[in-house]
Amino acid sequence: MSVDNIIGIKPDFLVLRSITKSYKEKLVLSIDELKIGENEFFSIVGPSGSGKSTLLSILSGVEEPSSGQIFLRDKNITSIPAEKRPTAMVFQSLSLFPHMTIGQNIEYPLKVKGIQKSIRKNKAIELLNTLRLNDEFYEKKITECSGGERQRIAIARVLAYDPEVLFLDEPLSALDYRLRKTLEVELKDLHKRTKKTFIYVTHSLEEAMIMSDRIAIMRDGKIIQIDKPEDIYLKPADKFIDNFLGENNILPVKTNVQNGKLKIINKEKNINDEILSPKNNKLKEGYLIIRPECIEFKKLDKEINSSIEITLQNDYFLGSKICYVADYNGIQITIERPREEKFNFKVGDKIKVYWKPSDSHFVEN
Amino acid sequence: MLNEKKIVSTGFLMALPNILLFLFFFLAPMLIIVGYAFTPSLTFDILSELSLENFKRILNEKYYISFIWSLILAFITTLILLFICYPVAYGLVNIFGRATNIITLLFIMPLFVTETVKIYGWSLFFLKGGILNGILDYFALPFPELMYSIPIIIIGLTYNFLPFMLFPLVLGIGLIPNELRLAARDLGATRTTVFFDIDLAIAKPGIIIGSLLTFVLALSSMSESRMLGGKKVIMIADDIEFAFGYQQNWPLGSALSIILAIVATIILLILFRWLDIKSFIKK
Repeated sequence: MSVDNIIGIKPDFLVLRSITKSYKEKLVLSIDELKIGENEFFSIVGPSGSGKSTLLSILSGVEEPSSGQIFLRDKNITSIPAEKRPTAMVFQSLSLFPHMTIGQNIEYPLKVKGIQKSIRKNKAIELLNTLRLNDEFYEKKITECSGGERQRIAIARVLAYDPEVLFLDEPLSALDYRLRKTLEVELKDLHKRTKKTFIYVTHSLEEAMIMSDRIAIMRDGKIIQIDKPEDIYLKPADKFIDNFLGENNILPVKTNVQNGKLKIINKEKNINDEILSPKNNKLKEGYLIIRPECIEFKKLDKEINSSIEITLQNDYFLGSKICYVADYNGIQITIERPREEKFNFKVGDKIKVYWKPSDSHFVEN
Repeated sequence: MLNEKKIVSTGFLMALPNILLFLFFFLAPMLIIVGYAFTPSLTFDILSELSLENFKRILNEKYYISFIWSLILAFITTLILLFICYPVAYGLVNIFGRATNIITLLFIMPLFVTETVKIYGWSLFFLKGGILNGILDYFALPFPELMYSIPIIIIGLTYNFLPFMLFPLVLGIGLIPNELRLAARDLGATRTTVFFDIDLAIAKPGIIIGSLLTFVLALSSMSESRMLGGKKVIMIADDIEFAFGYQQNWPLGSALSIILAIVATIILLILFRWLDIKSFIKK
């Protein structure tokens, strides 16, 4: 999916062309083209060693690429060092200056620019308020602040620099679950209010999905999918991404074309659906991915139903939902249904479950 | 509660051996020195008579010259050591990598040898007809007559107290995560600004402790001025040793020691005020 499809975002704001990076002859990053739009909240997601940190270093200017170019508003910035780029980074460790007060931390980029003390203070207090911290924080020390407050201060400091692009390097990874959830929402809200380009690096696809306009998924130094969160969720490009999403049901299948439609053939023969998938016209092996909430216990009306027979093993109460775990020829199947649809069963019950063929998604091996 | 019956806390009991050690071996000799300082000159009965004779004598005779020389030499030594050790300490923390251990060992090794032996080594090196002279002659270069001059005293002091500056600096510089420098640079600071705003500011405790150690050590040194400087200048420690030893005038030596201790303490207090020592120890 290209940037142009997202309304209100100017494409070609930040463009990477044929970027590679090698360390000691070893290629660690290779990107043909990447376009990030103005005001976009763009996330880069990948496990450690996927090249996401290298990509961030190149984007921010900490490192130069081995080959290729970077353009910001059509200006080639490839060899401009980090401090001369109109970009700023929120480091994973936050990198707050421990010997300065919070006010001094936030004012630092302004002080370096030689801006008058009184103007600096006003700006710092304004930024504190933007980040929902009261004026009292101005005089406080970093050691007096909680993790979430420090997080906000680090962002306020970067905003004081007034960059065109904000890089965020896993800024929430050190925080506990609840605080992370709060800050995810706050970050998204802040992005809306500041109208700046946010480039967010994380290993958590879940985190990226909550905040991002688009997500790039990286593996082995390459971007394997760039899409809106919804599309990544529903149509992951391969099994790898799917593992990343967690909790998905992955069935190994073979496909064949019959009457212009893709037919799943399995030794079980009870996955009897037709997949309306891209133009696959050969026998292929791959995986069928079905989200847990798409599987139902009842046959669906007026639909071509896909079904498999599973052996129920357990159920877990998840508040508004109930999670059922079952076995299908040694593969774990997870089903999530609303609480109202509670299904009573005995362990070991064999039942048929159904889903709409359009809810499943085929990926090639 | 049971604990309320205890008159003495466990913490105090645990600290008791240390307190006793401190009282007997540190505070007691100090008190004896204070006592002697107020005893009439050339007597050995401590406080047989309360007298300010020693202090009057110090003021009347030209002891202040020794004090000034000691202060000047200690100050110069500290300053030189700061400039020499900072880059080395930075290298040990950030650059040398695997070589760090070996380099550290090289800096520690001279501490295994007594100061006197090291100073003799330097004498042999700088002496007319010594090692340096021989090498320079071989290349037909002129030989600078350094022996028995003030610069050689400073060289000796600098060499001897180098580890006492280096290792506190290593600790100080070790307090600076590299990401802080990157962050400051990213926010628009130049290299120089980062050095003053981040490096020096955060390494300050290390810088102060190192300076303090070398300053106090150099202030109370005498071998360098005596053996390398050939008594070109007389340092206060030399006067003190002379009073205690050759003159057998313990009260005078004690009074001089007290003044030196007071001078050192004042400098220490000024520095500690400037530095939030607690924040350093907590880390």
